[in-house]
Formats: sequence, C-alpha cells, structure tokens
Amino acid sequence: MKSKSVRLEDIEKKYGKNTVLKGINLEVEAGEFLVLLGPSGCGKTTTLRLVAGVERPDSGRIFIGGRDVTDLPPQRRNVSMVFQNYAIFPHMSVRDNIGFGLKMRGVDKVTIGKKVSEVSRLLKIENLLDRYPSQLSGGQRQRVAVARALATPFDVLLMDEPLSNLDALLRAEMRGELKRLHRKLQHTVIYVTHDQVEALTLGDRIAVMFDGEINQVGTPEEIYEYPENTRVAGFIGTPPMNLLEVEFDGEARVDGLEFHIPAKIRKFLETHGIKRFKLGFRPEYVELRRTGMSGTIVLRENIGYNEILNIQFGNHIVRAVTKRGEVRDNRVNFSVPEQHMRIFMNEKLVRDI
Amino acid sequence: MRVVRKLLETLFALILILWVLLPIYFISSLSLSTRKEVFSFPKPFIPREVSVDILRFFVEAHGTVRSLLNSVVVAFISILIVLVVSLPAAYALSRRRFRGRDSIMLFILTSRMLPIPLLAIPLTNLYIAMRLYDSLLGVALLHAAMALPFAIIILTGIFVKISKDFEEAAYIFGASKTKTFLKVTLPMALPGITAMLIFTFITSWNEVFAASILTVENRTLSAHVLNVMQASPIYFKYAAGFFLSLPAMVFIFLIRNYLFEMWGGLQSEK
Repeated sequence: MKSKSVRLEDIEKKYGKNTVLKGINLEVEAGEFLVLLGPSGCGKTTTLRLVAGVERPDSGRIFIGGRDVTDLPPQRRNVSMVFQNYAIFPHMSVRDNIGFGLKMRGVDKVTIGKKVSEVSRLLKIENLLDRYPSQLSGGQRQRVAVARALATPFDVLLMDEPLSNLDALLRAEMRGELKRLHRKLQHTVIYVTHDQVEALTLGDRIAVMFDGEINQVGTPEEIYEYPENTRVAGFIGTPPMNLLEVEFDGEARVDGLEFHIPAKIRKFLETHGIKRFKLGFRPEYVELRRTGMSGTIVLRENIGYNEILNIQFGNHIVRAVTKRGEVRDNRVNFSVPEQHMRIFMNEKLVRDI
Repeated sequence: MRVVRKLLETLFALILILWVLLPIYFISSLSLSTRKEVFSFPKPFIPREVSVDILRFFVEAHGTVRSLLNSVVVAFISILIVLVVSLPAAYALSRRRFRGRDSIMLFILTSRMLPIPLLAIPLTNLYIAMRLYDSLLGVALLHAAMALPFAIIILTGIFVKISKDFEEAAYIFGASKTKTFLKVTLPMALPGITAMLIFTFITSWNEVFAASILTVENRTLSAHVLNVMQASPIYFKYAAGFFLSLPAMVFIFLIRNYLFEMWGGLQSEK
C-alpha cells in the first residue's frame, strides 16, 4: 500500500452567499501527517470533505497522487475516513463494519477475514469483533472507526476531529496510539482538529486556518516559534503568545512605560522608520529576575506543576509561566530574552531582523 | 390544590381508558361465550362458560372466509403500493432541499382533507369507467391512497433521523448510491418501515365505507360484515366485531413504541 500526495489548488466553496473557503492552496506530501487546525467554523472540516468528495468545490482543483479527482465521486477517490461521530453502522457487527469497504470492493471473504483480524489486532479490538456498536463504549467505537478506515485500501486517510468525543484521559491515550500507528504505517493523513495539543503532538506539519483561509503551514516548531501573524500567535499555545502594542520614538514604550528591547531590534526599527508595532513573546520565555521591567501580579492561575502569572504592565496584561510558588512577591521584575522576541508589523511577522 | 388536580387528571384518564376498553372487553368476552349467554339479561361481567361456538358460527357463515381472504389480498396490495411510492418519496423529502419541498409536504396532507363520502360518487364513476369497480385492485388503490400521506410523513421522519454521515461513510468506503441505500439506509430504517406497513395494513383492514361502495361481489371482511349485519343474529355481530378488531389490537400493541416515537419525534424535528 503506497501512500500518495494531495494537492489543493485555489479551492473556493460557498454555501449560499456565505463563502466558507476563500482560495485554499495546500500540498500534502506522500506519507505526511498534516493537521488542519483552526477554530470551529473556519472551514477545516469543509476542506476535508472536499478531499473526500462528499462536497464539491465551486472552483479550484483537487489532486491525489497527481491525478485530478475534482470531478470524481467519493467511491472512486480511494480515500478513507474517520468521522467525528464515528458513523459506524449500528446494524452491522464490528467485524462487518471493519470489512465493509473491502466487501464493497468485491474482495473475497477469506481475504476480508484476514485483513479484519490484522487490523483489529493493530487496534487491540480482536475481542470485540462479534459485538454490535450499541454494545461498545465511546473509546471502543473510536477504535472500530479507525480500524474500518485502515482496513480499506486507500491513498489518503482523512480524520475529522476523531478524538473530540472522547474524555480527556482516553483522548491522550488515543492520541499516542494514532501517532504510533502513523509511525508504523506511514500513511498520508489529513487530520482536522481545533485542539492545538493534538495538532502539535501529531502533525508532521500543521496548516492553521481562520475564516476560510490558511494562515500558515509549517512544522509544529515553526508554528510555535514563528507564528506568521498575530492571529496564529494568539491561537497557538496555552496560554498563547503575549502581544503588546508598542510605540517607538527611539525608546520602545508600552502605554507610556519603557520596554527594554535589544540593540538589534532598535536598529531595525530605526532604519525602517517604524513608529508602531506589535511585540510578541511566549509566556514560557518570560524571565523573572531582579532586573528588567517592573509590574504587579494581579492574578495567579494554578496549572499544576506550573502557574500562570498575570502581570499588569501599563494597560496590558503580560502573562508568564513559572514553577508554582517560585515567585512569592506580587511586585515583580521581568525581561524577555532577545531570541524570543517577535516583531509584528500590520499583524504580520517580521522575519529578517 | 395540586392533589386535586392530579386526582382529576387520573379520573379523566380512567374515563378515557374505560371508554376505549369497555366495548372491546364486552365484544371479546361475549364472542367467547355461549349463544344462550348473549341473550341473557343481565349479562355476566365474566362469562360463566367459555366457548368458541359463536366464533365458529361466524367463520362458517356464508361469505366470511372469502371476504377475509379478500381483505388480506387488498391489504397486501395496498402495502405494496404504499411501499413502492412512499420509500422514494420520503427519501427524497428527507435528503434533498429543493424548491417547493414544504409545499409538497403540505399538499400530501391535503389529500386527506376530503372525506371519502364526498368522493364516493365521482370515484364510483371513475372506477366504472376504468373497469376497476368491484375489483380488489380498485379497493387496494384507494386504501393505499388513504394510507400514503401518513406513510410518507412518518417515513420522512424516520429517514431524517438517520444521519447523512452513515451514507457518506458508505460512499467513501466504496458503496454505490444504490448499495448504500440497500445496505445502510434501508436496514437502519427497517423497524420504522415495518411499523409504517403495519399501520397501512390496519388502515386497509379497518376501512369500511370505500370498500362497501366500490364493491358488490368482492367485498372485504369489514364491508361484508356491514352488508349482512342487519340480517344477522346479535352474536354474529359480536363475533364479527371481535374478529375485525383483533389484528389492529395485536399489531398496535406490537409496534406501540414505534408509533409513540414516530409521532412524538415528528414534532421535535420541525
């Protein structure tokens, strides 16, 4: 089973007057695990359904392994899918559910039997084969849905928020399981989620979507360290990146208070004559020492081993993550290391400083 | 205050139950007793002697078996017609959003607005012209027409409840549209379809007016009983009543959960 690449070219999709996809361009390499990440209503599920063929684009082309499949029905696209609500057939046993795709392709019973037991072993559901979906727990149904998707031969595996209906503990377990499966089987996967932890742990690359547009495509590290714009920066990370509005007149000021910036950035701002910009830095990188800018802790959020400090600085709240109990005084000094500062001009990341 | 209200509600429900159950009880108990007891006064609440004598008299009476068979044939033809028409109609209404969909739904119901007696003469004329008069097919056609509006609406509700995801999953896993309908949608709708068909059967089995005016020789059981009732002894009427109500009672008891679900569910689907 050789996996294939997927390419979307200028995909547009409207529902009535509502444009849900505004020109999607995306390349997924063969064997890659690509995550479509975005808030609900951003068009990520629609994108997935377009690749599956259960929706048709208003314009643009879709290629799977170089073959133009835009006008093909789902039956002829050779894709497989795990649905958000699993959609395993309630009137069929687990065995028949898993074998459904092969049966529809006219594969003989012996081969189906072999494949079903192979896949069910992989997902550890051999003992459930004769049960019916109503006799399964949520987690077991999830496994059956994945098993069914894997049993059918496919070029691309599509997953639509497959873990969102599971409770937190099970979700973490299945997340690891999916990662393990992908390492082992090396399928091309397009995975839709609104959960950034899933995206960061599972994805070889992540495509971040807002309002029907892809804002950034990159590895989890790239997305995390170099968010393309303030929207991505404000979406990724728990808590997300600090974004401060800064005025520059030779000194950087946030609500009139001086903010220490390194010489390199100062020089960049001067040579380009920049007067206002947004400064971004992740809460995890904020250093709390005796030196630096001073602010007041107005709220402490306990997140277990760590805590999130909400520091009032001018009219802004700067968030910093520290080990719980490390900072006792509510008056703190903080600074941000040079390599972790990001400059956003007109909401876009300035890369070459 | 609340107790009084509750008490009144219970009382009202009790009256309703007795209203329905008492006639059924008397018909059943008397048709299972002896002829002598039927004529006795006052009649005992619990029959002193249980006997199938009266029922046997009814079954052996002239025309009973033949009209019973007619009823069964008519019911099955109407079931077949209802099935062939309502399945595609309901599926289309549940899956596609097309112009005039709501008007069609309404229009389907309006066919039940006209009372059958009003249609009797034009229908008889039409049937004579089409050579359908006094034929089982003719009666079956009318029964199907009477059952179809509810059948379509009930079935639409059943299909609406089956998530499109199942069909999309079937497409993705390689099933054609026909196969998807046969292997996925239909089996999932089957219990509801069965209930709908039983409903159609009872509609046809119980219908008496149209069957009476559209036939002379080929009467269904209900029409036959109505026709010979005046000239029959009273115990014959008890036996006929018991016989006619039996299938409806048994079937409705079997599908009662479905009927509640379908009719209760339709409102919330709106």
